[in-house]
Order: sequence, then C-alpha cells, then structure tokens
Amino acid sequence: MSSSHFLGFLCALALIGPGAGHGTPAEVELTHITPPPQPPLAVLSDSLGEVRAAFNAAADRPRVLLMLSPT
Amino acid sequence: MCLRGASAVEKVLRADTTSLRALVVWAHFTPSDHLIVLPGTRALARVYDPRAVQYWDRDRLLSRTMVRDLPADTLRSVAQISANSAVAWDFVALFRPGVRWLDRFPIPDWAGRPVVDVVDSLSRHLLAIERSTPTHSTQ
Repeated sequence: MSSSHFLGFLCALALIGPGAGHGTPAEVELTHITPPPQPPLAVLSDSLGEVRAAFNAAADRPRVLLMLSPT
Repeated sequence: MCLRGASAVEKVLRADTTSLRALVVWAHFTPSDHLIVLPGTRALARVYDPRAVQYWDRDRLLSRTMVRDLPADTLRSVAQISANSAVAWDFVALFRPGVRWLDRFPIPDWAGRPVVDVVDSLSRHLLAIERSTPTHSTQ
C-alpha cells in the first residue's frame, strides 16, 4: 500500500469512527446485526409480504408496530 | 429523535412480560438517512427485546401502504402531514389480538407519534389491551 493510499485509509477510518452514535453522516456502520435471539434483519425489496405474514402469524397476541429512521 | 424513540419503546417492552410481538420497520426518512445503506448494528441494538423482528424497508412500502389504506383521522396519528403529502414514520402503533392484515392495512387500536413523546401512552394502552384479553405466557 502506498503512503497516499494508507493516508486515505486512515481518513476513511476517521470518518467512520469518531462520529458514531451522534446522528452524523460519520455514523455509517459496516455491520447490520440484530440482537440475538432476534432473526437477522429482513430487507423488504418489493413487497410487504414478510411483515404481513409476521403480523398475522402473531394475531393471537398484542402487536406493537414501530416505524423509524435509522438516524 | 428516532433512535431515542427506539430506546424509549425498548423500555416499555422490557417492562412487559406478555407474549406480544414487536415489529420494527426502519426506512429512509431524513436527509442524513440517505447516507445509510442499512441500519447499523448499534441502531438495531436499540430494540433488543427477543420478541422483536426488525426489517429494512428500502422503498418505504409500509409508509405508502398506510397512507393509502388508513382513514384520515387514523393517519394523523402515524403520519407527518403537509399540504400536499403524508408520510407515515416515527410512529408506534398497537393492535389487539385478533386483528389481521388482509387486503388493507388494519386500523390500529392506538397509535401515536413522534415515538419519543408517546411512550407513556403506549404503555397505558398496552396494559389496557393486555387486561382485556386472555393471558399469554412469556415469549
């Protein structure tokens, strides 16, 4: 790795690290892991079928639906 | 604001020992959100209740569905409404047992926004629903 590439790498690390947790653009994270034992984060691509199925599968109990932005 | 709301709802969930299900849907809504490809581990950890399932709604499908399906009076409790648009976000909605999502998005028994400001009300309404329905074991 050349010195300029190494410098760029350090700059990228500086952008990702210090701002984490403060709602700034530097908060971008590289991992997207849900807390166990929750299932992995499900990405809805072109349908709400997965959410609807989970909603209806739990129709015998109260359900809390939360919609949020990640910042 | 939204992340604080997630933490506030987690506290409500933690105090509840029933078998409720929590569905957490994340999506882009603010300008800074668009720098994020997927919600990060730290954001996802805000809701760590084992009864939760988390989703990334890349195209705001849920918001658009709710705006399309819910009556105006209900929409006011879940959406940011301006003269020419409505966006359902930063809300929490509660559904009693028996409610199913069929052709149209179901009307919640209670809903409110912004989340961080309505958690006390969520707690009260959750308790009321639990008292009016048969008890489930934890999880």
